[in-house]
Amino acid sequence: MKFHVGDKTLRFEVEIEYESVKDRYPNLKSWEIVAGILSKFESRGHASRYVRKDGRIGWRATEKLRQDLFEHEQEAIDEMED
Amino acid sequence: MSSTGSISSSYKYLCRVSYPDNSLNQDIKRLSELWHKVQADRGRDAIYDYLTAVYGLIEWWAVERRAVERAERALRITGLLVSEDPDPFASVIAASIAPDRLDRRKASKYARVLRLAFGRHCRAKELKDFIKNRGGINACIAAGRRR
Repeated sequence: MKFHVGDKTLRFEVEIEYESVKDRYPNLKSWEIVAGILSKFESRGHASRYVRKDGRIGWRATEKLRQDLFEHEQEAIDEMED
Repeated sequence: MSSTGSISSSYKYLCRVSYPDNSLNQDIKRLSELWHKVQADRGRDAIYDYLTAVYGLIEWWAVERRAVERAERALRITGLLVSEDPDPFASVIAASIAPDRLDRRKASKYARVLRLAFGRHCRAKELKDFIKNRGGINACIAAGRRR
């Protein structure tokens, strides 16, 4: 099962999460891990689905994910400066 | 809701990811935030961002052939009255605007133009052009009525 994550921001976040889930659950198939991660992101409002040109369902980052990432980055910068 | 043509032909591409209530709720919340943003925007075209987002949601629900069932869930989650066989576009508009209420004529106009576009197999990305090329929301509905 292939998932179409047509968004750099979301793909990056999924890849980070993938590594950590894979270490914890080595028996899971890769599509099961990705499905679980996308579902989790969606339920947090960080990812949404859309219909791609070819009729398949794709995934993209929401404005909320971008905003949350921006805030985390700002917090990290502030901490470094303190 | 019938999902014909190009959209139903893609039914085979189901993505096997569950869609629990909290995910649906997040989608409605996203639309609701967009609605409020659009309300604060005085630009004439701002409404198209909201309509495109509503359309995009129903578009992928329709690919999974779950538009009506999910529309019912959206109404239930937001505490609105669930009618039998609700129209997905009208339901999602109502759910995303709740607890505010849009005047009935406006809500029906938006739902009608989205249904019309859906019936013509328009893609979410092309919705704004689809409506604008037909003279705007009102003209688009009027043209649809004449057909």
